[in-house]
Amino acid sequence: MTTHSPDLVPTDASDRLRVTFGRVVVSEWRKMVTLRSTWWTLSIMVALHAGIGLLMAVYTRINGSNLTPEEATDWAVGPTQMTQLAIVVLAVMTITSEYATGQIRVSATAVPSRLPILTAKALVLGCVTLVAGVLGVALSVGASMVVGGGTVAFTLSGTETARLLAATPLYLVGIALVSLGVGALIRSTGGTIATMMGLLLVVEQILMAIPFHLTKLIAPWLPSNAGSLIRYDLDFLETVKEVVAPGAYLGPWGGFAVLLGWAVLFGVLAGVRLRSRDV
Amino acid sequence: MIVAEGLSKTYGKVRAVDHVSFTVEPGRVTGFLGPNGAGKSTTMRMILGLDRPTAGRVTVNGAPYTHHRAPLTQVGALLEAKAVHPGRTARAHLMTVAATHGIGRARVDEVLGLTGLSDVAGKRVKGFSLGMGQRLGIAVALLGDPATLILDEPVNGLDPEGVKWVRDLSRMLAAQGRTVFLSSHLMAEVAQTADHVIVIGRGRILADTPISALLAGSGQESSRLRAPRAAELATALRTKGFAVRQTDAEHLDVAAATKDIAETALAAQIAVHELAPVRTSLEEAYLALTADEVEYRSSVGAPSNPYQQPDQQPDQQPDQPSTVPTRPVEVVR
Repeated sequence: MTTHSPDLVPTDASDRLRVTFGRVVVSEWRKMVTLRSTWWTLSIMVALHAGIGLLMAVYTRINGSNLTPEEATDWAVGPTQMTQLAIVVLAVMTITSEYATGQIRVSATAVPSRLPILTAKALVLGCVTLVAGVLGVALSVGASMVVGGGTVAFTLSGTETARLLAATPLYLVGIALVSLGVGALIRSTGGTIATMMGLLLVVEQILMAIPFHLTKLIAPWLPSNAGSLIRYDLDFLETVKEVVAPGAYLGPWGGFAVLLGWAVLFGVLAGVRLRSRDV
Repeated sequence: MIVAEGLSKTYGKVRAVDHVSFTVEPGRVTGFLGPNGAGKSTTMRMILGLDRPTAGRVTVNGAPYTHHRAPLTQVGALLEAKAVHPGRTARAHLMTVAATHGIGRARVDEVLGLTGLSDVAGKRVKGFSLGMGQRLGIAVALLGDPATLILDEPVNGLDPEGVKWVRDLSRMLAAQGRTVFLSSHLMAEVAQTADHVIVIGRGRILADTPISALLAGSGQESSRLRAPRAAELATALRTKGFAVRQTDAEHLDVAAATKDIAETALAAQIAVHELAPVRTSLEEAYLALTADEVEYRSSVGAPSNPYQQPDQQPDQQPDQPSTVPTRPVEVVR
């Protein structure tokens, strides 16, 4: 039907050129790394972990004492409550900026089945968050070991320490995926960030604090409350067990599974919406 | 080739596109003309699978858009200027789109060159003018070297040189045997670029015709006359089957050739003081076609008749204000 001019790609190119999931992943990867905001949010996140670890190590040394491995772990993992906000912003922007700018229509035209766009975004976002989380915790621990004094020797064979150090990257991945799903559902940047911040910082914590049986039964299952269990040491987990309703204590890995469950739930809802609604 | 069959889109109670059928043929530029809000963009979004039709279907190169395995090689689309994250550079934007199909950097640089963006390829889109945004959108459309191009208001925001560039590019692509479908709300623009035009108003196809036929009004002629007994002459002309609109006590606009009017007047023994044919400009033909179909008209206080049939001619409602002489134009539905 068409006769193409010689300076353009030949017609049979369509055999070689076609959409595959791997290519959509490459596209989403390029989208993420070509935006300055990605590097800003990730840098802030990593710097907060590393910086607070470094500060506390210096502070301990000035006071003339040595940092224990438990303390070093605490300072590496502790900032997560704050740094998750940077990840929420990154994750939400990944999808809502496409709606804000109209880019989504270009994306959906290139990948008409649409679902691979969301899946590829989740994959890229998950990996980037995991790497940034590991980097943040590693830099913090490293700072502690260098500055904190000779006694900080980490034995990763200690399963609790290993779990706590792994907790931050894993928790951040879970929160990132939940944020992505909620963002794909709400589609507006401001609305989604407000929703996620409200949920993480206000709603979940207030529900946890209300001394009714019902809230004590439900609140532990909410994304952040459940996912955070993986970040708590054994002493604090005992406290949580006493506070929540009997049967609503999920345990560190159970809680993390519930967080991932939320991510899957929002992801499925977002996928259904993305496929069925006009963009 | 684009084939739409009974395509409809309803938003709530609003019928944005109402049972539209048309074929856009390869090898020529087809203009898609209509006032703002007529349903042009909605139709184009349905062609691209972005909006789901409420009824009907549309295929591109033989299959629904979403069924193509390499859609960018089938259809290139410019839907809106700057549908780009402003923080990305022009090249980075093209690379993200190219990646989905495995299109290489060489082709990206090629379309940057084709659209005159090579010098600003490394600049962030944030600083682009509307015209540069349009060029980037066209670069995206050309990426997959598609057989069909869909351009929504491609000359919006372009300077005269850019307008000419889009015109020449469209013609060149059509001459290569591709299907080029471009929308505009400006008749003059379409007249200069397109070979064929599809006119849409309030979601309905009003005309699907070669540009030349639209200009000629499908053989219909119209005239303007002054006669002291205008009302009587109007009745006589209507009896003969001509559409008539009385503009004031002595003036009539008639959809008939001067010869027919003169003979009718003679037979009725009514004196005619002035009689002249009315030349139809494309702009007037377009306005006449869409006079009843624009969603927001500027003449305040014109009561719209909800019972008006879509195929009713404007001249059958003498009270309706109109800035153009009315004439029947072949209406294709």
